[in-house]
Order: sequence, then structure tokens, then C-alpha cells
Amino acid sequence: MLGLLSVSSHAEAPPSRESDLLLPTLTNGIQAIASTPNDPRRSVTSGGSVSLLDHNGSIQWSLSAGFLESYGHISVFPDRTTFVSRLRHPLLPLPFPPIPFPGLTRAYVVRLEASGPGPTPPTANLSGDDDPTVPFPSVGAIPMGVAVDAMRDRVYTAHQRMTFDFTGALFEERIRAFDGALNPVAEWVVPHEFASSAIQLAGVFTDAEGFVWTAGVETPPAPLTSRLIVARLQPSLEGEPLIHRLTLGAQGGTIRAAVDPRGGLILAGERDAAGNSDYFRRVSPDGFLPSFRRQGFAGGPLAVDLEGALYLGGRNPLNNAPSIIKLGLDNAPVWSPAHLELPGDRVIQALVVLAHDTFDVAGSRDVPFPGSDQSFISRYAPGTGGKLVAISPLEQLGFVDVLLPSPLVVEAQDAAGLPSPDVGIAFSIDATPDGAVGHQLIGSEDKTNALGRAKTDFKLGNIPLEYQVKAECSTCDESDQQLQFRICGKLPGDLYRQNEDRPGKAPYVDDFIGGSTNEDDRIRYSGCALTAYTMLLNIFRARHNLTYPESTPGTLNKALTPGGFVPVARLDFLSATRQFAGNQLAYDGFNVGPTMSIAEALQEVDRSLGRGDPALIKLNSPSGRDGHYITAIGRCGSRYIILDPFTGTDIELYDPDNPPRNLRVQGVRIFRKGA
Amino acid sequence: MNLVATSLTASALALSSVATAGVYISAGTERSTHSLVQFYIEDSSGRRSGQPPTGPQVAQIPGTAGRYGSDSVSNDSTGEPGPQSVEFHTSTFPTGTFKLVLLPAATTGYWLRMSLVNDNGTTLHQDFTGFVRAGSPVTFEFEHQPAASSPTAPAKLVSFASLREDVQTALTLRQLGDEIFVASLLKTLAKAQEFADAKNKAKQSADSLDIFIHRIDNAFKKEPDSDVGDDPQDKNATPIINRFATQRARDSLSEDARILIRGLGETPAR
Repeated sequence: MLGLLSVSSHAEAPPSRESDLLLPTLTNGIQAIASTPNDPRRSVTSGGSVSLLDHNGSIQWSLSAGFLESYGHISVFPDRTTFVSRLRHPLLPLPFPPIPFPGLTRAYVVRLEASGPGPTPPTANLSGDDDPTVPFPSVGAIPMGVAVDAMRDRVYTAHQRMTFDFTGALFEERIRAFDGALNPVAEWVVPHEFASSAIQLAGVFTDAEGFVWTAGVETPPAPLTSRLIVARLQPSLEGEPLIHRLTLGAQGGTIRAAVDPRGGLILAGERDAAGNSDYFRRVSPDGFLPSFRRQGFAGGPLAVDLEGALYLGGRNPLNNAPSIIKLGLDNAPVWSPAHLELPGDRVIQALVVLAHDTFDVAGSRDVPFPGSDQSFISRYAPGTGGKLVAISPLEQLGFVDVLLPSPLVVEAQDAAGLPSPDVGIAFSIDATPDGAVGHQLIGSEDKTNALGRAKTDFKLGNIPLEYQVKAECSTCDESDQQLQFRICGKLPGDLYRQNEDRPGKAPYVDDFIGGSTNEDDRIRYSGCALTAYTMLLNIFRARHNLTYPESTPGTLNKALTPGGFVPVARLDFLSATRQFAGNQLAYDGFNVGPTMSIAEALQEVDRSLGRGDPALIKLNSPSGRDGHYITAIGRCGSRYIILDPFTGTDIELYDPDNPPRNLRVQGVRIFRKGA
Repeated sequence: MNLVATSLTASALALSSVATAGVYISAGTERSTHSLVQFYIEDSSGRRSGQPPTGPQVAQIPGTAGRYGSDSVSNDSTGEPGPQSVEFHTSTFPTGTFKLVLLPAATTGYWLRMSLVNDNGTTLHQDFTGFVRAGSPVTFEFEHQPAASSPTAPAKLVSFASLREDVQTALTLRQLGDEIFVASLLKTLAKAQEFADAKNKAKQSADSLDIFIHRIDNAFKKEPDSDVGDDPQDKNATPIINRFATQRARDSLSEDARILIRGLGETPAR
């Protein structure tokens, strides 16, 4: 026996409606539906009408009578075999033999095939001890429920047996068991505490372990108040049953019940022991748990999922809209918003939970005169594929023209957050920089694996800007079926630091810039421009196969001294470029100020990156650090990927709108490959 | 009288090939955390770009927005700001003749580098150094003809008055001395201007300017000044030991004097 488990209380979104099946030939509305996991929509029964539906919702077989006193149940086996029980009535057509006198009601179980009733469906008379062809029977039967234990090939029925004599009527409530051929196997009579009472049974149910449950309201003569009775029986209906009784706060009333597959029942009734209306009460094998109220839902259908969560059909008390509400084991609403509202003209009659947050709702909806009400079944589900979740980071940096070091990985998850294998995934390149070439997806998987994951490799194009790769899951919820990966390109280049010599290269950090003898003019202190420029020259050289030598800040300093500097040991970019790179590079400079904004200056950097080239950004700070050069080697949204010669940060995303260290853009230095 | 001539000797002239035409100008003074000079460029229509004498920066010449600004590099270890200069770098400069007006905020030495690049990639770098007096603009003239085979060298606009002012500034900055020697140099300049203003005396004016050049050069070298008949035995003459000229003073003042000589159209006797 499973115990009651605790569930998390975090709010989930209500599932969305998948589609409606409208049943125009049925009247009086559907009163019950039953489903199986592999073909959950194949059966429906309604007051006065019985229909079987195929996969597409078309009606294969239908009985339409519409008698108010008739009702029934249908369940479907996984092997598509159908059981039905219903009230026998002479005006009903086949498959039942006519009753010459409609004096007493009688109940039958009829086993139907999926395609229809067939010529001679197995039938069982619930009354058992009565011959339906006798004109004046003394015993009748009112069916109160049917349950199918497909695992054990058992059908259980609950009915009220009526015996009449000249002193009046005697009522007995019986649970009967039948085999798959509808041969009676066992019977259990619900014990009365009061000889004159009748028990209004809420049905018969089987839990996951095969135990048979029933519950009802026993109403004794006034002034005694009614009592709840709950019984758990062995599958064989033999042995001593487990029975719990509880006195209610009023006389009369009915209850509805749903089985908790883990073991137990959940009851919904009109008055609890304290006299509160619209109450609910969980029942475990150990007895009744405290009742709780849920106004607007006690009269509607209820269902329980495998985790013990309770789904209620009824009306939202705030606006009277037909609604479904899901309650966790703490009896608090799980969804946010709490109510899943249906269109306003509907009456919810039945609920079937197929899986966690996936269920069918059946009922009726009004149609304009001269039509009548129209039955419907709607499927509510969180989405067959759940949602798509990123396993690899949604934003990655990668060098241009090469594969990202790690693949882009997504995971499809079902509504419970568990990985979903075999979900179709489509990777596609969604955005690329203008003019970029060479980018491609490599080895994209089109279906999730056993771990629910799918991946693709991505090779960046030649432009160090932003690429976007989209992953789509066609079966996921609409709001969660896409993921967008942002891949930001950067140019490859060795980092040189102005204040730290590079291993394997000649030391330079203590060299004086441009032949100066001022202590502040050593590279380690004021060599950011020289060092950033060195990295830029080396990147240009590698990308465009230029012929000037690769340099370090030290070798470049020597090569440019003195002509590449202005008299205050500051790099003269035009002169330096002419001197070192000749006509292989062209130079242009922009300064932020009254005639150019930061955004306009950075557009020049963007154009440079858009050509696949690095650029220099000059920063300053109102706090005193006036003038610091960095090398921009890529852009990611509003952030630049930089090589910073002072901090030594290999790659740093520098956001000009939210800069680190309070740095602000002061100007940009732009270079181009010469003609 | 303003005379304009092309500098051929005092500038660092270099020709190289470049892909993009443009004008690249930097200017500054001695080490100062705030630039002591600003400048603006003015085209023949009177449109200006850069920092005018009053008001904010302007970019009235087409293609010059965002091209003027200050530049400096701080000490990244201490955060101390470095020397500041001003610059005007653009590859989108129109064709024409322009004036560059240097606006000094202090009496000091300055440097100016102008690089002109033509469409065929030919580049001309030219450096100017000299002295400026606070509030006294210094004007240069240059042409940008990117379609020409090579750029035309820019020139400083020099007059006798501006040269006299530069001599005084050099004295103030202790780049030239002593006062007796400077007074003597100013007399030489006055004589040169007197000849220049007179009819048919251009040759004499050029000779006087040439003497001016040689006297400063001798002061720099600490050599007797034969042009004024230095006699070591003459007790009344200015002691040679008191005369001096720094290299910057010699170079800038001599260059300005040569510009004036070229403007006279005469060649000195020597």
C-alpha cells in the first residue's frame, strides 16, 4: 500500500486546451468518461446516450435515447475492449431484449467491442436473482457505478438492489465482481447500521494494488444525521473489509468520490461533520483525514492523478465560470492562476486524468435554439513535449572561422520536468552578421536521445559579431518550444600585457616609450596604447597575411622610435602605421565630444568588426584615469569583447553603457587593410 | 607684412605610401595634464572645425565631425594623468586651402605635427616647434589636394612682428638670453624690417635676417659673434659667456627668419 506523499507546493501554470471534440448527436450531456493511456478518447457514455469515438473523434456507434432515468458507465481496456453498464429500459433499442412492462428498473453490464456492440455482446444482469422477462418482478436494481481492473480482468459493479413486498421496499447496496466474460465471481453486501436506511453509493473504484473501494452516505431515520461509510475490499471481495464510518452534520445528502491510485479515496459532499458545505475529505486506509472546503466544486466531478493531486470540476466562485482546479496534497491550489476556466456556456460533468496535468474534461455546452445542448470532450495538457531547456550556456564566445569548443545542447522535458527521449528537435541558424561567410551547423541531432538531449556543433563565420542558433521542439508547449543561443565571435590574437612580460619573448615592460626618459613613460605604466596597438597589428597581420613582422610591445616600440611618437611619448597612430605597415594599413581616428556621441564613435568600431577587423577603443574616467586603450576583438549585443593590456583579462565583455571601472568611451582608432 | 613660405629645412619631411587620403594633425606643449594649446581649422569660406577662440568645439567643415579632440595616456599603475595634447585626424577631409590657427593658453613652447595624405598614398609629415604667448594665435596654412601627385608642405605664417614676439617669448621662457643680447637681436630685426619696407632694399633686409640667424647660432654654440665685431679685449662688449640660445630657440627662430628671407625673394650674401 502506498502512503500519502507530500508534493511540492510551487505554483505551476494550468495546462492549455488541446482541442475540443463536439458530439452533436448526444443530448443531456456526458456524465462519465473513461480512458486508457494509449487510446484515451475512445469511449464516452452519457445520460441517455452512449457513443464510442475513434481516434479522430468521429462517432462509430451511438445509442441515443435521452431518458432522464437512464445513465451508465463505459470503461475501456487497454486492449480496446469496452465494458458498459446501464439501466435497462424497453424504449432503448438493441442490444437489450425488450421489457414488456416498465415497472422496475434493472441494471446490466454489457461488454462491447471497440467497433460497436457486436451481434451478441456479453451481458450480465446486475440484479442477479431476477429474470428480466418476468412481467411483474419483485426485485429491481439501480446501477451506481462500475470499475474495471484491466490488470486482473475484473469488472466491479455497485448497485442498489430493491426488494418490494406489501410492507414496502428494502434496499441493499451490493458490490459485485465479474470476470472478463461477465460471469459473476463474487458479491459483497454493504452493511447497514439501520434497517430502514439506504446507502447512496458514490461508486466503486479500484486502486493500483487492486483493492476495491466504495463509499456512500447512509441516511438513518430522523433525527439522526447521515453517516459516511467507506469500505476497502480485497480484489476477491472476500475476507474482512476495512470499513470507516463518520457521522455527518446533517441528514441526507450525497457524495462523489474518486480513488487515489496510491490507495485511498477522496470524497466530495454537501455537508461535513461540522456542517460546512462544499467539503472535501481524503480517506486513507487508516481513516478520514481532516475535511477542507472548496466552494463551487463539491458538486462537480473529481479525479486524482498518480501523485495524489486532486482535480476538481465546477465553477470559479469569483466569477461563476466553469473551471478546473488542481489541489496538491496540502489541498492548496497548484496552478497559478488557480483556475483553469472553460468557456462560459459549459457544464462540466466528468474528468479523467490521463497523466500529470493531462486530462480530459467532458460535459455539455449550450447551442442556440432549435438545437439543444451539445456534449463535448476537451483535452487539457501541458504540451506533449513539455518544454525545451538549454543545457549548454545560452551565450558563448568563440573564435571566428572555427568550431565552438563545446556543442549547443538542449533537453526536452515533459510537464513533470523529466527528460523526454525521441522528441523532434530542429536546430537552425537564425541570425548572422551582415556579410559573414563560413558559419554552419555541424552534426545537428534531430531527435532527443535516451537522456532527452540533442546537440549540434556550430562553426562561426568570419565576422566577430553575433550569431544566433535556434533550437525548436515542435511538440513542446508553444511558449517553451524555442531556445535561442547567442554565439559571439571574437578574433584570435595573443594577449600582451603592458605590465607583464610574455614568456618566451624579450622583456619590454620597463622600456621607455618613444625614447623618453620620463619615469612615467615606461611601457608598464603608460604603454597601454602601444600594447593595444601591438595586438591590433598582430591580428591584422594574421588575418590579412600582411608582410610586416609580428611584434611585441618592446620590438614595436623600438621600431617606431622616434618617428612613430609625438614629442610627449604618445603614439602617433598615423605616423606609426605608415612607418611600420607602410601602405598595408590605413588609419582613421574619432573622438567623442560635442560633435560626436559615444554611440556614433562605437558605430565605427562596429563597422570595423563587421569587416572582420579589430579596433582600438580609448577610455577615460571622470575619477582621474584619463586615457586607457583597449583592443576590441568582437561584439556581443551591447558588449564588446576586448583584450585589455593592463588588467590582463584575456577576454572581457565591455559594455559601453555599463562599463567596468567607471570607464567611458573617449574615442576610437580605426584601421583598415590598405588597397 | 605677412610672408608665407614653405619650410624645407626645419621640418621632418617624409614621403611614404598610404591607402587613404586625409589630414592628421597633432599639437601640444611641454608635459602638461591639460593641453595648453587648442586649434581650429578654417576653410576659404570661413567654416571652422576644432576649438574656436570662444564657444564649444565645432565641425562646420564637412566630414570633420568627431575628428577634433584631446588625447592622453594615464599612468595605469598610479592613475596619474599623462601629458595631454590635441589632435585632428580625418580621412574624410575636403579639397581646398585651409588655415590652422593655434590658440595658446599659456606662454610656452609648442609642437605641431601635420601629416597630409593624398589619394595615391603619398604622405607628408611635417613637424613645427616654437614658442607661443598666451592669447597670441599662431597661424599655419596648408592645402589638401588629394588628387595631386604629392601633398604640398604646410607653412607657418610669419611676419617681422611675430618673429619679434617669438624672440621676446624665448627670452621669457629662458630659451634665449641675456637681455642685452636679445635687445641686440631685436635691433637687427628692426633694421631688417626697415630695409624690407624700403624700396629696393630687399637684399639688405635678407642680409640682416641672415645675420640674425647666425648670431643666434653662435649663441647656441657659445662662439664669438663676428657679425657684430666681437672683440675679446673689448671691455664694453656683451660677454659671450652671457649669450645663450637653446636648440629649440635656435631652430624655431632661425626657421621663421628663413621664411621671411624666402618671402623677400632674395638670397643673402653669404
